[in-house]
Amino acid sequence: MTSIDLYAIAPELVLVVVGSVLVLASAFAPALRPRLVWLAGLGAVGALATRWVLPLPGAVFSAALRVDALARFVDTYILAALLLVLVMAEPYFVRTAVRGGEVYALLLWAATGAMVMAKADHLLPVFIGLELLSVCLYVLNASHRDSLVSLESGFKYLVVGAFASGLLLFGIALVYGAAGTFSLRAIAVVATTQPLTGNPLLLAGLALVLAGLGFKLALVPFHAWAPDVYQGAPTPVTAFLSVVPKGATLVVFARLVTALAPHSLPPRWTTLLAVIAIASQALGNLAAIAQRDLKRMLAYSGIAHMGYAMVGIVAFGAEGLAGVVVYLAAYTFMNLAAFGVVSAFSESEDEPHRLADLAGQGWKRPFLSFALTVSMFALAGIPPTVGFVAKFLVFKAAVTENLVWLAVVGVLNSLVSVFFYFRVVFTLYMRPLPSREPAFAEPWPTRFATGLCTLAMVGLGLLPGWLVSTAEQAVRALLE
Amino acid sequence: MDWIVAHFAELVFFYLAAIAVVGAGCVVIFRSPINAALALLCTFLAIAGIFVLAHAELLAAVQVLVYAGGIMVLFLFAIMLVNVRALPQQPQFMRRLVPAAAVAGLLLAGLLVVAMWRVGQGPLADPATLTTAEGALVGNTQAVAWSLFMQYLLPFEVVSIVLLVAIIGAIVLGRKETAEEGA
Repeated sequence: MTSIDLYAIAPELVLVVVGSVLVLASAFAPALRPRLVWLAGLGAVGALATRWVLPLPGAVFSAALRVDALARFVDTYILAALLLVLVMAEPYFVRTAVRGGEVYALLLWAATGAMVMAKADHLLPVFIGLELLSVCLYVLNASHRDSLVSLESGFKYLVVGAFASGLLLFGIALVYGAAGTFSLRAIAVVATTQPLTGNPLLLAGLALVLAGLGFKLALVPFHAWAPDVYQGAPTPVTAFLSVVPKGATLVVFARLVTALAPHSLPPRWTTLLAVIAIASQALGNLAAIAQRDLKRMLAYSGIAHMGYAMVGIVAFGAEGLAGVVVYLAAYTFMNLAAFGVVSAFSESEDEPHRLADLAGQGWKRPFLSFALTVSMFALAGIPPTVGFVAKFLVFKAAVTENLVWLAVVGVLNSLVSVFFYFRVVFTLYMRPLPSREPAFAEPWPTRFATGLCTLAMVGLGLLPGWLVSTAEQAVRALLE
Repeated sequence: MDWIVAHFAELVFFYLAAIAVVGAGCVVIFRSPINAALALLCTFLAIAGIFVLAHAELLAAVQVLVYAGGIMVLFLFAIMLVNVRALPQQPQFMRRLVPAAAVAGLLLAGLLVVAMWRVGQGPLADPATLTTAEGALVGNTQAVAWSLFMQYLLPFEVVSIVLLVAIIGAIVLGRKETAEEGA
C-alpha cells in the first residue's frame, strides 16, 4: 500500500471515521445527540470536498479500485444524495423518536459501501461494497422499531437481499472459475482472446451475476420486493434506498459490460437486456396506475425508471453510457424531491401515505406542492426538467444504435406514466380540501432539501450542458 | 487394486462430496432444527475435507474452527432459545410453492451441469497459487497471508467495517428502550 492508495480512498476514510465518531458520541455524550446530524453532514461535505480536491490516480490497491472520472461522478452523486437525505431525515427522526447517532452513522457507512462498489475494478470489492451497503440498509429499513410495517420492510429486504447476494456470489465464483481472475481488466483480456459465447461456465456465472444485480436494481423479474420495502421503510431511508444502491449497481453493471464486451454487446445480450428493460418499464408503469399509496406508486415508478436507464446500457457506446450516468443524476433529484414531500405530507408514519390525503394541498401548502409537481413532471419526462434531458439522451442513443423500436417502446411507456404522475398533480390542485384538514408539518429542513432538488431539476433541465459534458468525460474513462 | 491406488484422491473426493450434498439436502428436509443443524455440521466437515484434498490446508482449518466450531455453536444457541419441540408441528408456509422451487432448482442444476461438462477436464485455476508468494515456494498459510494483505488488502479492510456495521445494527434493532432515553 502506498500513499497514493490512501488518498485515493480519502473520501471513504472520512465517512468511515465520522461514522465511528457518531456512534461513540451518541453512546458517551447523549447530550450531543440532537446535534449529531450536523456532524454527519459535515462528514459528507468533507468527503465530497476531498474527492474534488485530490487528484484521480486511476488504478489503486493492486487494481482493486479504479478512481477515475466516472468514480468521481458517482461519488458526487452518492454524497449529494446522502446530504439531501440527511437534511430530510432530521425532522423525520425527531418526529418518530428514532434517536441516536447510529442511524446517521449507518447512512454514512451505506454510502461508503456504495462508493467502494461503484469504483471497483474487481469483483471482490463489488461484492463487499454491496454487502456493506445492504447490511446498513437492512438495519435502516427496520430502524423505526415501533412500526410494524418498518420491521416488515427490514425483514423482507433482509431475506431478498441475502438471496440476491447469494446469487451474485455464486455467479462471481463461476466467473472466477471460467476466467481465472476477479479483475475486470483481466476478464476483459480473457474475453478478447477467446469468444465468450463458447464458454458456458462464464455465461452461467454472468447470468447469476445479472440476477443478483437485477435484484438490487429491482428490474423485472427481480422486482417483487420493491413495493413492500419502499412502503414500510422510514421515508428518508426509502429515498436513500431508491437512489443510492441503484446508482452504484448500474455503474457496476456498466463497468462489467464494458469489460466483457469492449466494443459492442453480442446480439443475444442486447435482446436479453432489451426484454428486461421493456418488461420493467411496462410492469412498473402499469402497476403504478393501480396504486393508491404514494410510496408504493413511487416504488413501481422506480422499477420503470431502471427500465429506461437499461435502455442506455443496451444502446451501449459512449452515448448510451453517458445517458445512463445522466439518468442516475436526474433520477436522484426527482426521487429525493418526491420522497421529501411525501414524508412531510403524512400525519403518522404507521398510516399509509394515501394519494387522497394530498387533496387540495396545492393551494394550502404551495411550496412543497410545487416541489412535488415539478418532480412529477420530471419523472414523467416533461421539458424543461432534467427528467426530459435524461430520457432524451438514452432514447437518442438507442436510435443512433439502430434500436428504434426500443426507443419507441420507451416513449410509449413514458406516455402511460404521464397518467399516474399527473393524477398526483391533479389531486394536489383540483380536488377540494377535505372537511377535516390533515395536520401536516412543513419543517424547514424538508423545504430546504426539496427546494434544492427542485432548483436542480429545473436548472439542469434548462442548462444540461455541464451535466452532459461531465457525464461524457466520465464515461470516456470507461471505454478507453 | 492398482486402480484404487491411482484414483484414491478421487474416491475420497466423491465420498466427501456425497456427504456434503446429502447433508445439505437434509438441512432442507429435516423438520427438527436440531437435526438440521447436525446435518449442516456434516456438510461443513466434508467441505473441510475437500479443502484438504485441494491443498488449501489453511482454509480447511478455518472451515473447522469457524464454521464447524463457532457458527455451529451460535446456531445451537439460537435453537435453544426457541421452542424446539413445537416447531415441527408449526404450519409450513408456502407449501404450494414447492413444485416451483423444485423446477427452478432443477433448471439451475441443469445449467451448472452443462456448464461444468462443457468446460472439460482441465484444472480451472492454477493450483500453484496456493503455495507461492512473490515467486517463491511457501506454505499455504503464508501464501494466503500474502494475497490477503497485499493483493486483497482493501476488500479485507472493508470486511471489517461490514462486521462493525453488523454488530451495531444488531444492537440498534435489539436493544431495549430505557426510561432515560425515552425522556
